[in-house]
Amino acid sequence: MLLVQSLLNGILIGCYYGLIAAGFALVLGVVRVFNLAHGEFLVLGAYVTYWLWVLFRLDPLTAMAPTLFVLSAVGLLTHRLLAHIGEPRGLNGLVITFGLSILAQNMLIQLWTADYRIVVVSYLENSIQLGPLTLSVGRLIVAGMSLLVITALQLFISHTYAGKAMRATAQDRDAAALMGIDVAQVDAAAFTLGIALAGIAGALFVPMNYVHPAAGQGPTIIAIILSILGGVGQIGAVLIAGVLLGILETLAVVFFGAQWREPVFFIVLLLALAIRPRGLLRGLGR
Amino acid sequence: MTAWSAEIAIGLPRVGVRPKLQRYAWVGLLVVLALIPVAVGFSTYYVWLLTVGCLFTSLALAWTILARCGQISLGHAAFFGLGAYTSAIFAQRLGGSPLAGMLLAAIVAASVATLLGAVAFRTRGLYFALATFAANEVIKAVVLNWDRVTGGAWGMVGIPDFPRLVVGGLTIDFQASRTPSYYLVLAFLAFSLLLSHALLNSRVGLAFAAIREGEDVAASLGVDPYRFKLLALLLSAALSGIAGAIYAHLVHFIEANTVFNISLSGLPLIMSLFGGLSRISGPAIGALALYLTDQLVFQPLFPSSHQMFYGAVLVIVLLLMPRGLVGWFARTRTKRS
Repeated sequence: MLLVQSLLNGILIGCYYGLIAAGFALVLGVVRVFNLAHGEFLVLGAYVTYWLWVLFRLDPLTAMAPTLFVLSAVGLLTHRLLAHIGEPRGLNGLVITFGLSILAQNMLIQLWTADYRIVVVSYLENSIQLGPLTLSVGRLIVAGMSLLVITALQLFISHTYAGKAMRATAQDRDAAALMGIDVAQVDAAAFTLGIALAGIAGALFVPMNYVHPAAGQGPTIIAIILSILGGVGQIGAVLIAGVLLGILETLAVVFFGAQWREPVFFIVLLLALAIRPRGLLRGLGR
Repeated sequence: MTAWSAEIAIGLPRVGVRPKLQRYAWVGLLVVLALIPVAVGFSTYYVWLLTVGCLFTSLALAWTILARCGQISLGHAAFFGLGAYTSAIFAQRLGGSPLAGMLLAAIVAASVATLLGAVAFRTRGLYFALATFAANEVIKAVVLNWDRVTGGAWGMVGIPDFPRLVVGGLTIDFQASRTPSYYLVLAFLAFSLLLSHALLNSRVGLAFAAIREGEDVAASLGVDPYRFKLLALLLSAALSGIAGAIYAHLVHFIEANTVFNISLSGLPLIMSLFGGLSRISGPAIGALALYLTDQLVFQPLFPSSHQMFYGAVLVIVLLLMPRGLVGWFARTRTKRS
């Protein structure tokens, strides 16, 4: 029964991981920037939600809308900055966002100290008893919202002109440009959307986890792992990889203890790199 | 063809020969550094500041050895931390000499680097960088969870000092003042500079450059990329390990969250890119300039978040000066002449 319970928790957490990785994979696939500061954007979204709750008693689920707005603006500005990096863009993008993440972490310390903060909402604390199984309402809602956002993203990418332009740019930049797509504009849109998605993930982060300036490292790693295992451009595969990682994490915590939660991520990442030394090329090639 | 396959790192120079005087600029830097304590009247504060500055300079040089093969590491804190813990455990728990501990630190760091290389060199470019980033976190987790040996999250306190040395009639006491520590670190920095110089001006250096310019081309010319990249990683890790060991014995206190910190992985990278990788004095000057600015200006202003300075520098360097400071000076000078 413990196994079933952990599997269930793992699946719920995994859906949320899928949301964390969705924005990252979008930026990686279209803009070709390996955003090591993805987690910091998520943390910023979490802080925005936290302050909306502290100052205006805004429910975290309602706060998703203003958070989305703020993070879109931040994403747009950041893209203006990143648009100037030189070749090789893959490596330069990785290093510059590494710098951004150090900068952001310390700016957050300066702004709001290193204190651990959380939003406590009573209805999210409840749990449902299903026979011998216990389901946390908070986790259910977070997983449900994640699936909703991922589905919306999927529909956007497959059914709108902007989404198709993004897919075309991800598959072949030059060909997309020749077809009359303004790739620079697509880049800006995809990056902004990716950061906005990180913001939504942040809004869903803070009712369930403590947020602090260094809290972004875990989410960044999760996003990287899922993008490598699932490949960019296939949100379904990213989601499945998320569920697998969620299950693995829950089992590791049950069997080895909570201190092995994050190390498991990094071990999986090393294994993923060893298995797929060329990373995402497979997903991008098609 | 796309950015994904590119392995040429930021601001790395093309193969070429430089005027002799420029190649030996680092010797002048060493002489200046050796004289500074006299100039500041052996002030404890400034000597200590420079001691740590020179230690980070050595770390930057160690990072650069690997970068010269086009391999960007985002996890060099791993080797620094391993060295610090190895020597601390050896000296404190086993009663060994810190000097032997430094050697052991180099061996342990190099061994782990060999293991890491076996996995990480299956990947290229930014995936290699990611693997180093992940490896640092795995090692940190092991150190944090291996309480009985490493002290876990509490770290290690009261790590012994370097022993008193008697050379000729001269007694060198590391406890009496900060000055002997400074010259010890300076000696290590001199060693790092010499090694970097020897590597850069040898067949090995040429092999590194060839791999950096194009791994497949280098392989087709009979340069085995794996062997030389592993050599670079080993040397780089060993030097970083020694730097970590010296740090542990100078500061007497280490904890996993400090010595395996992501900003410590960032430090050598930022310093080297800022100084420019095209010659040996680049990372050295970059490191000293940044560390002193950080400590003298930003640390007093933002005690808990002064590291943001390094993040900002990295972003600005990548946007404005892809070849770093020294490359920048060299370019403006050639333009004028």
